[in-house]
Amino acid sequence: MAAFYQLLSGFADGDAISHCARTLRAHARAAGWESEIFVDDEHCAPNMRGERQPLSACRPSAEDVVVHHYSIASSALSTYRRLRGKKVLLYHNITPGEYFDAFDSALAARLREARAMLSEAVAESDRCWADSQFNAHELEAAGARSVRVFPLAFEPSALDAPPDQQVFEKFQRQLTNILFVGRIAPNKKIETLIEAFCWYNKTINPLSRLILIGSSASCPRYYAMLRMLAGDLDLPNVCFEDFASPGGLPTYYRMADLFVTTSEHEGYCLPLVEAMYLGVPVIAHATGGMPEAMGEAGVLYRDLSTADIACLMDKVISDPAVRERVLASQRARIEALAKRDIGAELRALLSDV
Amino acid sequence: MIWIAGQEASDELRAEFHRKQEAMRASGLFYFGPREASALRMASAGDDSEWLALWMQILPQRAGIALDGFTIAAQPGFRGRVLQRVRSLLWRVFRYQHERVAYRQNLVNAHMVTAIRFHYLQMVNECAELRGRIEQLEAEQRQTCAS
Repeated sequence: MAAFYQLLSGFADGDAISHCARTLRAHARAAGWESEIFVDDEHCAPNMRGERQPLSACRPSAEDVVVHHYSIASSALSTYRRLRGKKVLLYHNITPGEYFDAFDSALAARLREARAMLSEAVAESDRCWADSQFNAHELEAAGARSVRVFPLAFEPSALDAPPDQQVFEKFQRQLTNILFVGRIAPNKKIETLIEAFCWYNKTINPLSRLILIGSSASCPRYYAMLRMLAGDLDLPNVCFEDFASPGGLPTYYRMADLFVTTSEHEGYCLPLVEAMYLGVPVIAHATGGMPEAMGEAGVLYRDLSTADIACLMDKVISDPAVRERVLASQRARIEALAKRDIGAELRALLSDV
Repeated sequence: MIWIAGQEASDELRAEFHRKQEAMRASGLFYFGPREASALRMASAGDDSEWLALWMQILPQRAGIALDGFTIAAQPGFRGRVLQRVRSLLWRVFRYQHERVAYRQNLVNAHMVTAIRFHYLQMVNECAELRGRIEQLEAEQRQTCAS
């Protein structure tokens, strides 16, 4: 049987693309394929090095399938372009470089380069897959034909870890917990969330806190700006919790009364699904791939002021009828997602390559 | 626009939110401060160096600890109200000592910020000087090549 190889620009715990690659590898192996993940040393978290091989070790035959998870310009892309084999571009979307201009010029340039090379990467691929319809449209605009949508795989087993006692003790005091999980990056517009929380905390419910889970290393200057903003607004209850451990993440979700994201650009947004799975009502900005991730569940908004978002938070937290309606819709969404047979979907996609 | 469980709810919520926001604004508990001094100014920087220049510009305005405007929130119920009174009283009793600690801390902060600012200005000047020298050398080299 042919091999199924995946090329990534980065590999780390808590990263949605890495998680997706590991899930695909597990399903490919279960179906009898030889399957490996290839990432360069410098872009691989130290604890993950044993799980992958360097890009230079990827030598597919003409019959092997090579998938490149595309989201940024990297050495993985140049390797992908020069390899033989049946090439599949799995598009996770590219964050527009403009978001990073102020905070990380080098990253902004890599994102622009990725966008500029998208058409070429599409032209050199035998098949194009996207993890949302939103991403598929972008691929089609770049010249791809018959793009197949393969939504990010959600594996609930990762959230069934026992609670992290330290996190539990830290946040057990009875305050209303509003949670955000994701990279602390400018496209997530966390400043909007902090301002909305400021309205909520100062004028509606002072016994509340905003918990932000996400690595401070993603964009340190943006992180510094957010901390300064929280200080300016005199909000000691904005908790910058950095990266969560595998046990810590489900604990944060379980202690949350509400999950909110004000992000402006998302390819899909897996944390929305995680929050719904753990029974946390979700409010999300109806933009990018988020409406697809939510389906007909939770609360979506568009064109609201920060004061409006604060009122919406209050509505979902304190109106039992609305809260139950939201939670019921989310349970239905999770049931629908649980029916997905990722192995069968992957086999069908591979049979078409 | 708001959708709850897949159904549009904007009309249903608009009037309610409007009323609520009038009360929120009237409470006087919220003030964003002048936008020109806001941390969000940094988001408008054109590149890394402009971001750093803005940071250096607004940092001194934040070096001090102010002891005004502390609100002590009450937990619900009788016990919460009693505890709030006790905390308010303690705050009044110990405020003078806090002022002294804050004064000393502010002095340290001011020295630190000044040191960072001096260092930054020196770096900017040195970079400009180096850039000038490189440009001069390149111009000389071009002239040599042309002749």
